[in-house]
Amino acid sequence: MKTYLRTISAMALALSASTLVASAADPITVVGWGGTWDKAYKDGVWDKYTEQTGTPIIQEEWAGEVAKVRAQVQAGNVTYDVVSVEAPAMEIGCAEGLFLPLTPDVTGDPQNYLPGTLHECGVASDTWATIMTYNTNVFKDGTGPKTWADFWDVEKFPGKRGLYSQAQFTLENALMADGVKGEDMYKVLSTPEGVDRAFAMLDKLKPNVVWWSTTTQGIQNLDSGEVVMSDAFNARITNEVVQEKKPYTIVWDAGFFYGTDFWAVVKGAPREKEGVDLLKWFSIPENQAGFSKLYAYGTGRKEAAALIPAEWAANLPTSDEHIKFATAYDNDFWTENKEALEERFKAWQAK
Amino acid sequence: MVLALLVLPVVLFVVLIFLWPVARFLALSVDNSDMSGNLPRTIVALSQDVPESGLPSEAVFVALVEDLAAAKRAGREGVLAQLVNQRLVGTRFLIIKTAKDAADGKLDMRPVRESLIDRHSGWSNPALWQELSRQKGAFTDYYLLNSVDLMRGEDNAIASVPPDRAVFLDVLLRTIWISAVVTVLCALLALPLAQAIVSAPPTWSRLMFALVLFPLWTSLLVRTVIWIIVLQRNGPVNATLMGLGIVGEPLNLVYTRFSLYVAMVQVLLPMMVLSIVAVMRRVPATYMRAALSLGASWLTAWRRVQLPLILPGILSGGAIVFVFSLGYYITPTLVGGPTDQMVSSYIAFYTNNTLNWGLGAALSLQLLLILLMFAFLFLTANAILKRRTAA
Amino acid sequence: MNADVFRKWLMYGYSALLLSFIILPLLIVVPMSLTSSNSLAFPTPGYSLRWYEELWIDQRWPNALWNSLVIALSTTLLSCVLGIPAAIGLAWGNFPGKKVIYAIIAAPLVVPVVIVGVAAFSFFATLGLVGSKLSIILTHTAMAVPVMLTTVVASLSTFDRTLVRAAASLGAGTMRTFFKVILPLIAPGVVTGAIVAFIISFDEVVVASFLSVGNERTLPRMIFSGVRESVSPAIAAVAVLLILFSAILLALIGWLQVRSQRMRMRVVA
Repeated sequence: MKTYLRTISAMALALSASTLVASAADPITVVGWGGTWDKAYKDGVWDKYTEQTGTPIIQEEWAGEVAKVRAQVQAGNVTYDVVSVEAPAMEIGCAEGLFLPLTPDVTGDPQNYLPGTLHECGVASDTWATIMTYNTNVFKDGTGPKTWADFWDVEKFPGKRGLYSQAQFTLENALMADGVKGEDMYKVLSTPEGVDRAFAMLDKLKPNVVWWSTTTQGIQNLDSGEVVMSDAFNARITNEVVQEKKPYTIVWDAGFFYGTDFWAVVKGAPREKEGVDLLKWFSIPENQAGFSKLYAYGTGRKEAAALIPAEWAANLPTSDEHIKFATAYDNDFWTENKEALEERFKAWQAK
Repeated sequence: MVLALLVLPVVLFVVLIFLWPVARFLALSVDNSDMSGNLPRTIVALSQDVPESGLPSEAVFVALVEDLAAAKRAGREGVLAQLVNQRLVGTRFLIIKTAKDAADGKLDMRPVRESLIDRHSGWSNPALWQELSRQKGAFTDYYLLNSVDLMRGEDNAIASVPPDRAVFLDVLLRTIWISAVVTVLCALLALPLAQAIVSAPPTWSRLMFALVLFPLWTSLLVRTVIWIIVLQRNGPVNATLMGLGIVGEPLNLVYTRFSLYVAMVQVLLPMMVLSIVAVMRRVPATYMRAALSLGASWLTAWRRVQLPLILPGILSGGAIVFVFSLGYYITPTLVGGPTDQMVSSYIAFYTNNTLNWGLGAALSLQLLLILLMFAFLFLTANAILKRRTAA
Repeated sequence: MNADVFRKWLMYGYSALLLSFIILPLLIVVPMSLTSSNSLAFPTPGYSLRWYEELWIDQRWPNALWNSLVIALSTTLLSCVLGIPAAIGLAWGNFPGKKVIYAIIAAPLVVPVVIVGVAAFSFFATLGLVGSKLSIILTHTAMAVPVMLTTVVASLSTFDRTLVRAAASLGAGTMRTFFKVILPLIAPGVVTGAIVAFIISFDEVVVASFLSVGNERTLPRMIFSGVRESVSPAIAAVAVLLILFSAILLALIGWLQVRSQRMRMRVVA
């Protein structure tokens, strides 16, 4: 009887211990933008977190649809813990209470953040830019396109162009090609005539466009020679050039747009508390610098920028050399117009 | 009766796990409760209202503030904002911010009308009020109309949407066209092969039959992916064409209508072959021999004797291929370009990307109706055919 | 006569061409997946097994395979439990409304899979089951059960019902009769139906895309999102493994058919 009891209690102990261990090691589901972006976060940031705390991170990818989070929250079936969202989605989600507000004891002193990289409900995951790039094997020694108007000029620069298969970014590029300056962009785009003008420009280029919907596709189109120039996210091109020695150059001075994505914790997430812990850990400059070191996007903390080797930092869209050609994406504009313009864009593409 | 009870669980299962969810989803195509349910007071007030200088009177504004405060407390203001923004772009933040202010009691100052417009000038837009006054019932025809490129214009009359947004009729026609082309290609390609399978010696016949069947056992996804690999710029097809000197530069074969047809035909061909072979096997070879011995040429004999007898097989094979094609999603998404997308892709786009579930449901309803219509047509044709062969 | 011979060869030549169109793409990926390079190209620059190793090392692939197997096996089991009794009821029973019942059960075969996926997503979201294997298993079962039912009904059509009465007169209970008399005789139909049910679930991607998240991803879901990112040699390697798997299953079915034919012959003799 004694041995029997002892066995039972030992088993119970083992069982409770194992559940305890299991709960400590329950993974946090982190939702990013997929592909090399996710890989850079894994290699540069999350693996380090798992190493230090023992908490595994599961990476999911999405396209930033905040309504998906809303559907999860309303159904009480949240499957995401921490998500990276674009600034417009951040505005909506935070206003609706879908994301947890973050206090300074999580994020650290707001003074230490670059402008626009700290939000009531989130900290910057990355500051990215959509730039123009071309193949230097096709256009040698500075004979390549220099402006977005050149990008649209198929006679002077023959060959197909790659463009991102969505309205946001593409409409801005089209209007730049039509001579609209960065600072006037959203004044023009806010009017129906401005939108029509952008689509009219796209009409002109359409027969020469190869659309891409993931960065890897865009790169493959450049690699295979299917397109001679393309719009792209800057970090991916830098990676290809630096690591794979590919013949691409970024035309920063043609003008480019940049934006910031944020990490946010979904309210009611299964690992809500751990999600906040993760962001607290992420807010330490050394930890978030791990991403920028691998991927030429900026992050929020000023000190983090200082931890990046100067040579590599020159590749970032926010470097002194580049920022003068930059315009920030207008978050308010895209918050209101995203769905309508994406639907119109999809309809236009199908014709 | 005991035997009927054996069937009950599976029927209940399919109804509960399948038919009910589908019906629930399709009902979203006419559902307006997220709109009318979140603005109950406003809608009542609007219906009794006499506008002052183009805008509703104080009572409506009071009702609106109450509704928005309630929506905010229930966490529903985001849905409401999205729905209003769908109909009138540029109103999302207006709703969200007003709801927040309303819930915080910042809009209690009388007259509410002036203080609200003062704080959020968007509420002075008559178009917004016109849109809201349309949200009367629990049901709406907005999505159904939208799915056939129509809308409610001024004075609630049905009108065409602006040409830059008209896309769904094109997509529908394209879906039917692609399915029809695939069906005809399958039928034409399958006929000689089926004839060969039926007339070959048994061993060969069995081998050919197994080869036709084999792709049916590999996943649709895998077969589609394989076509991307085979047709890509540095894939085997381009390598062969260039090696033979037929083309100097690799062709863009994948992500085109061509690659879509190729992939869909390869995926669906086995179905067509199967149903033709099934019918052909029942036709005695003596019929052809009799026709030939009467002096008819082989082709005439085949056309006059064999073809009418196997027509039901072609028809049922065609029905399967056509109806399957109509609902294709994976293959067009992966191997088609932007101008090759079919209705299913748009359903996925609206439910996944812009979260416009109402429109997604309306398109689904449209697709199902078209599908049922064609299924019915095929059945009728088959019945007529049967009656004629019987007579 | 010459024209006959010519026509015959023309027909076989054509068949060979068309069959290679059906089969060749499935074969050509095999050497391509064995590439040693970072991207897929033809002709393959050099051969190695590195992409197969990659699948093994990247734990997401084995994990997805495991998920797919669990889901497909559960779907198969549930389809048998629901489908076999129903098939017996439908094959032997004599009650009104059979047509309606067939129509209801066949509905999942007709409704386009995107609609099924979205509908299942919104349904299971309200139940809080999105992201669980259960939601996928249930939906897959609805899609597989009609096929299960059809194959079992077909094998029951040649079944001699006097055997059941004989068993009953010898004092066997319903359960005993089912397991000792009915099941062994309809086994080929059941196994074929089970294999098809397994494949339907194992290959299904759209419902799985809507319902699976994170570590619950199935193999097709991994392939689907992988392809949208890029068609890498790893994807080709998975494709080859899946084709191999199908070939084994098809061989299994062929063997079963031959066996059941022999069994029937023996009964007749």
